[in-house]
This record gives sequence, structure tokens and C-alpha cells, in this order.
Amino acid sequence: MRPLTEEESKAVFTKLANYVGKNLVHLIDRQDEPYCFRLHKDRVFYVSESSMRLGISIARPNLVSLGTCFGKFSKSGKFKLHITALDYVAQYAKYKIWIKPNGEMPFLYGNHVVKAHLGRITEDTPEHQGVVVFSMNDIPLGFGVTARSTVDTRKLDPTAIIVFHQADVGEYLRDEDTLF
Amino acid sequence: MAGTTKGKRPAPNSQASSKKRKLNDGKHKPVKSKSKSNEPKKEKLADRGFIPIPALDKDDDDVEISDQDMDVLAEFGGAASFLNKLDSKGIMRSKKETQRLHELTKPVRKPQVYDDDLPSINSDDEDEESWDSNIDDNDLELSGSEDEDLSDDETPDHLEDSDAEMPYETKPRKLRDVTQDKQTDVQSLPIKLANGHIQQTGKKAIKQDMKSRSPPSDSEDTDSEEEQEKEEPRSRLEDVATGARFGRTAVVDVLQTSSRRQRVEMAKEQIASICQEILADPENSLGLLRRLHTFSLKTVSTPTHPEPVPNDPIIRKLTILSQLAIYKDIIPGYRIRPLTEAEKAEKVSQMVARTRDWEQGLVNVYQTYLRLLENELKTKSELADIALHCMATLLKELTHFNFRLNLMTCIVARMSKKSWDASSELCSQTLTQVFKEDLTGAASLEVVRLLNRMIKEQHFKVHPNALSCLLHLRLRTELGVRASSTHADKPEKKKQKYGKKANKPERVYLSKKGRKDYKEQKEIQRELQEAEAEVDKEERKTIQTETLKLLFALYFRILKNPTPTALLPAALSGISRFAHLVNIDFFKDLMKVLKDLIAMEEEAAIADLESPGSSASHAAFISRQLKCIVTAFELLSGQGEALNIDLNDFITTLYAILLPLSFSPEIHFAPSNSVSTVSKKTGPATDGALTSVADLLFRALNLVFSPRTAGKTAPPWRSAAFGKRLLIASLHWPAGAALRALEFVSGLIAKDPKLEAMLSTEDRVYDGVYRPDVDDPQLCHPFESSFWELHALHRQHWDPRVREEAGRLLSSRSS
Repeated sequence: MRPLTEEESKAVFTKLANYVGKNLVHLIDRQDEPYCFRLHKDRVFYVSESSMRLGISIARPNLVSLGTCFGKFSKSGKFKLHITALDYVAQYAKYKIWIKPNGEMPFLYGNHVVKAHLGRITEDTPEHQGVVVFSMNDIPLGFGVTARSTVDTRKLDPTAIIVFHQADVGEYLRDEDTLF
Repeated sequence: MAGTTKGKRPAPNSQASSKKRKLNDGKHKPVKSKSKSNEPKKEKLADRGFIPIPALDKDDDDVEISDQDMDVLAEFGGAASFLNKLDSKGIMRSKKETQRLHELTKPVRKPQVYDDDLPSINSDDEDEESWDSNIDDNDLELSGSEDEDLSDDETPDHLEDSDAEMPYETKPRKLRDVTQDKQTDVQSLPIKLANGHIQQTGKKAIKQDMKSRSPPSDSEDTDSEEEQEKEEPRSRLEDVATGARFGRTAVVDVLQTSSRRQRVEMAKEQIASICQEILADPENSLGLLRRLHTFSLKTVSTPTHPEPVPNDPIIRKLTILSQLAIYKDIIPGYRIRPLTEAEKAEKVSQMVARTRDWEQGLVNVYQTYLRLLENELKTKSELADIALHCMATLLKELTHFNFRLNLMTCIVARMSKKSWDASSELCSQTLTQVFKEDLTGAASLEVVRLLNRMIKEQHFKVHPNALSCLLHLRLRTELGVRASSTHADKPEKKKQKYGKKANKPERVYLSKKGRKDYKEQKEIQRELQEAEAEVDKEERKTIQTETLKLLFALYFRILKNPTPTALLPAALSGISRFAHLVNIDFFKDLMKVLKDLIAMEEEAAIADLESPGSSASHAAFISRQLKCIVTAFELLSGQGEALNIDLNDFITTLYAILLPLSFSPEIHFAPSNSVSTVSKKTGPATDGALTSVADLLFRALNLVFSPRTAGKTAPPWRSAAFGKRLLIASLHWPAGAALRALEFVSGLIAKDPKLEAMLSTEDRVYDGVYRPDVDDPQLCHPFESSFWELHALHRQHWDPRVREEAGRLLSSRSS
């Protein structure tokens, strides 16, 4: 476990900023307790400083996980956000999309969101913007990247994809082995 | 008509006179008969005035025989021979001659009654203006033509005599004149003025007064006297508009009466009688209309009276108003269009020709009237208000008639000032009325176009109330389908195209005869539709779409103006009113503009806070922001079906201004700037009367949390955050606003059961700290707090209603 290097933190923050935008500061600048990012075995953890201090005492091979896993770095050095980050991302999300009940299951099986399932969308969402996907009851389901801007969405036919799937809560079951 | 009389007059006159002279003295006869015998060789029989009976011809040619006749005449007395002559003449007279005589009888009879009429007929022939007076004459003649046949032979002599026997004629008139003068002398006493001068004016005035009062039949002698004493040349030149006619005194004379009271009195009477006559028979009183108009001129000058006579403002005022009443009554219910060249060339029946003449004449007179009004309005004279009033009424009542564009231009121009007064209010109300009663939408389109241009040319420096009348456009309810605002007629064309395509395959094969029948049927259908005169819905839609396009162009231009103008609130309320008609393509731009506006207001508010001593205007900034937010949500609810959009930024702004609002004690009072005046005016018409900031606020809140805009339910965190902040604010608000806040919060709780957790401190499921300082409902962790304010309100608020409401809310959880 070690703090992120300059390069790594840049990769992580740009990725997160894609979803939460300026709210990123609220992740670091928490009122209750200072939080920090730590890298362990290619994975990035978001952890409170007190937990982090406790974790220091555990040897690197023995430490499985601490805090919340946000994602991992691929071999090529790119950062990939995991579904485990959803709680935080959803809370601070800048752009959101709500899908209708009949679109929930298809999305949870790893499919993209089509226009027909679109329930509501934050106004003027740009193209290729990271969005958090919610059910109509405001339960976060996952996140993705928009295929079109809000305005263009209007003209699409119902089967057109509007959000590319990136992660969904179904992965807790599907990718149980690899996720942690 | 005038042409034929003009052409015919000279020759027949001489013939008629020849007959006369035959009667009177035999000496002239031979000369005349010679001329007569010459003429027939040149003319056609029908064109000639008299078709000679062969036997009589011989007689005429033979001088001796006629001499014998004269002898017989001398022997047996004039009566028998007179009858004889009369008979033969009647037989010989050609049809044309008869007609001519008919025409002549009128002008001749008139001179008997009103003497200066005769010469003016001659002048009529020269100027085209007075053709209408001819019509008058003809019509009168038609009614009494049979009676006059008997006196036909007499009338021509009078005509002749007017030139030849003038000295003879004057004698008896002079006698009458004397008596008349005596009468007036007796009746009128000299007036002693305040400065001691004795004025002798009464004599003349009373004479005229009598004349104007006396009915036409009685006025024979007074008129003849007048003709004699007044300038002969003038009566020849003056037409019906100014001269002394129909028993009425010449306009100039009325205006030259020196005593003001008398002058006004005379004018009043004349105006009244003219109006009455016009109303009795509008189709024949173009001349009278023109005369009425003369009374409303600033200065009256006539051909004989070249130096202009100033008019009395009271008389003018009266005349203008009576003209208004007259036009309101006599103007037909259709628009009169100018005749095309082809139509003019075409030969039409007399009836049609007369109607056409009347229509064109009416348009002309109406136009001169409008010009006068416009002039008054432009010069801002003392009659400007009256003129405006007249124009407003005309526009309201005669929207369908010609020159409505001129009326609209004047009225719209009247609203282009920065200030707002009674006259602009009148204009605004007039336009509102026009909008409300406009069935086809064409008039509305014109008004909107004018308003649009006016506001653009004034660089938006007009009073916001000028926009308020636009809220009453009928297209709000009538234009059901949302049409493209950029291309008014595009969908129409498309539809037609589709229609054609769809029709083609369906068309059944028809035989030649069947096709012919079908064609005929279609023709009949078309004509029937035309005859029904119903407002074509398609056409109306096109017009209204065009209007809408202009309307939004105007609104958007105001919105996008780099520096916000005073018109902004009015434009916003307009947009929110027509929100359901806004093209979805504009949605993005509109939202962006609204967002920019909110940001701008925010900056302005901050700048305002920094500068001391202007806290009152802070409410104005906030209310403008609220207006923007309301507009945005209205737009959204209008487009609701198309796409469900979460207006995060607007909601955040609304959340942010709740706290500053809690410090404004005047939340219930309407801010004293233009925003409120507009909304007050339009209040009853719009869905909610937005008189105060509180009204605006709760309207915005309701919109945010209404199921239409927020889907089924708003996210719980949002409801919780708003509920919490409203309760915080309600601690500071006056009782009324606090009560409304409590009601709203109870509504939120009822909608979202998750909020019930905040009513107690026991069940907490979230971790974190409530951050009341964060202006983002998403980040403030509302569920970490509780609605403790309810307890404070329940226990300690001074208003029992608030206490009760808070208590009810608290107990609702346990139940």
C-alpha cells in the first residue's frame, strides 16, 4: 500500500472528474474525517485516514483490501473505475440518468441503455460524458458514458443507444471472482 | 352619367328653347326652325332630341302655315294652342331626350328650392369629386319622376331663364329679401358686449340660424335670398362639402359667426341634422359625410373663400366624435377592395355601379377622416386624446374594415414611450380587445408584426406593459398543435405532399362521364364552402403559426439582449404563457439563456450587496431569478411529454435563494418595480397571480416537485433538502409565508415516506453531517438532520395557525 504517484493520481482524478465534476473536492475535503487514496496491488482504495493508519501495520502480501475500492490500473497504466465506487460517484454525480423499470434488468445484465428505457435525464448533458444510471426510485444502478447529448437524444429512434455501459451492480454477481 | 349629360346638354337646350320661343313670340321661330332642319341631316334620329313627326315636320318647315297657326293662336287664346304644342312635343321627344330632361329637371328643381345648387352642378362636371351629388339628384328624381313629367316643359325654361332673364327674376326676390330683412331685424337685437360696444352681428346670424333650422321645403325663399346676396361665383364653385346646401348654411359662414356660442350652437345643429340624414340613408350621403368632415378640419377654405377660416376646437371635437359614431354605424361588415382595371372596364348594371361608387366613396371619405385623426395625433394638438380614443374605438369595432393597418400603426406607435399613462393603457386595452375578438388571426398577426418592429426600432426602450397585451393572443388556446416556429408553412406543404401520395393509389378509375361529374361536384363543394364564410381552420393555423413565430422572435430577442432590459420580466411571463407552443428545437438555447440570466442576476445581486444602502432591490433580483426559474419549469412542463429532463441547475439555484429569502421581510409584498405591475395586470389571466415574491417562490417550488416535471417523485434527498431549508426559512418568515412553507413540507412528506424519518431523531440510516451552508441539495446530507424546527414552531410561534399546523405535522408521523 502506497500513496499514488503524480501520474497515477492524475489518471484517477480525471476519471472521477468525468463523473462528479467539481464535486471531486467533496471527496477529499470531507467535514467528518479526512480521506485519502491509496494504491495496493494495482487497485486504488478510498479510505479514511484512521483506517489507513491501521492498515499500515499489516504486511503488503497479507492485506486483501481496505476502505472502498474505486478501481484498478490496467497493465498499460490506464485507470478503470469499478462498480464498488458507485456509492460515492452516485452521491456526487453531476449528470444522471434515470431508467424505467423495464430497462433496469437489461442494464443490470451488462447491456447498454437504449432510448426506449430512458426515464429522465439531466438537462444539457454533453456527449461522451460520464453519467450515473439510476432506477426511477433513485437507486444507483451503475454508470456509463453518454452516446449523445441531451438535445440529440430527442431525435433518436427508441432502439438507439444513449448510454454505453461501463459498470453496473450486476457485476457483484457476475464478476464476483475477479472484482475483489 | 355626368358624361352623357355633359355631351348632350348644348344641342337639346337650344331646341327646347326654340319651342318655348315659339310659344312666347312668333318672331324667333323661323330662325330656330332653320337650325333645326339643318341638324337632322348630321345626327342619327335616336341621338337627336326630337324625332320629328312627318306631318309636323312639314308644318315646321313651312313658315306660312305656322304663321297661320299664330293667327289661330291669337284668335282662340293661348290655352288651347299651348295644350296642342305640348302634346306634339311629348310625342316627338326621343327617349334620350326624355332622359336628359329627367336629369335636367332635378338640377332645375333644386335651384328653385336652393338656388346655388344649379351652378354647382355645372362645376360638378368639371371636377370628379362631386359625382356623388349627381347620384343624390338621380335618386330623388327617380322617386318623383312621374309627377315631373307634366312639368317637363316648364323646367327647361327655367334653365334657360337663369341666364337670360336674370334682371326679371331679381325683382320679386328683392321684395322678399326686404321682408326677410325686416323679419330678422325685428327678431335680432344688437348685443351689448362687456366692454360697452354694441355689436350688430345678430342680424345676419339669426337669418342663417333660421335657415338652418327651417326644413328644406320652407327654406325656399330664404335660400333664394341667400343666393342673391351671397357671392354668385362662389356658389358656382363650391360643392356639397362646404357650400350652403340642402337648407344648410355654408360651413364657412357658420365658422365665421362671431359669437362663439352661436357658432357652436349652429354647428351642433347642422352636425346633428347631417348625422341624422346620413343614418337615414347612408348610401346616398357621401356628400354629407364629406360635409361633416369639413367641420372637423382645422381651417376651412373653399374655392370662393381662399383664405382659410379657423375652426373652433369644440366644433371639431364634436364633429370628430360624431363621425366616429357615424362610421361605426354605416361601415359595412366586409372589407372594400379597390377595383381592378378589368373590373372598371367591365360594364355593370346600374345597381352594381352605384354600390361600387358608394363603396369607393366611403373608403375615400373614411380615409380622409383617418388622415385627420392621424394628423391630430402626430401634431399632439389638443384633440390628440380624442383622436386616439376614436382610433381605438374604430380599431376595436371595425377591425375588419380597410385601413386597419394605419389604425394599428398609430396605436402601436402610441405605446412606444418609456412612460405609461392613460392613453397607453387605452391602446393596450384596445389591442387586447382586438386579440380577443380576432377570429381569423390576420389582425393579430399584423399587430404582432407592428409591435415587433416598434420594439426593435425603439431598442427595447419601451414600457414593459406594452408586452402585456400579447398575453391575450388567441393562439394560445386555438393553436393546438405545436408547430415549427422557424418554418411556418413547412408542415403544411409536407402534409399536402403526403396527402397527394396517399390519394393517388386510392383513386378509383372513373369513366369520362364520371370524372366530369366528379369535377362538377368538386366545383360545387368549393363554392359551397366559400358561401359558408366560415373561418378556414387551415388558413387560421398558418396565420397563427406566423404570429407565433413573430411573437417568439420578439421574446427571444428580448431575452438574448446582452444587457437585460426592463422588458425581460414581461417577456419571461410571455414565454411561460406560451410555453406549450415553444419549438423543442429552441429548448436548449432557451435554457442556456435562462441560465445565463440567472447567473447575471446573481452577479448583480452580489454587486448590489457590496454597494451599501440598496437592500430593497435585492428582492427584485431574487424575484427576477424566480421568474426565470418558473419560466424554465413552465417550458419543461410544456415539453414534458417529449422528454423528461432534470433541471438540476435551476433547482439548485432555487435551493440557494431560499436562505437569502428568509431574511426578506417583504416577501409578501409585491416589489415596487415593473415586475409586479405586469404580473398584476396579467394576473387574472395567467394561471396564478404572481403578485409577491412568496407567490413566485411557492409557484416555483410546486413546479419543481410537481409530478409532471419531476417524474413520479422527486429524489428523496431533494425533497428532504428542500423541506429542511424551507423549515429553516420559515422560522424567520412572517406567519403567512411560514404557514405556506409548512403546508408545502407536509405535502413533501406525504409524497415521500422516506422523509418521515426526519420527523424524529431516532432512526438514522445515513452517515455524515448535515451541511446547511452548502447550496446544493445533493451534497448537504439532509437525512443527517431532522425537522427540529417543527417543534420550535409548534411550541413558540406567536401565530396559533402556525402552531396548529406544525403540531399537526408532528403528530402525522405517529398516526
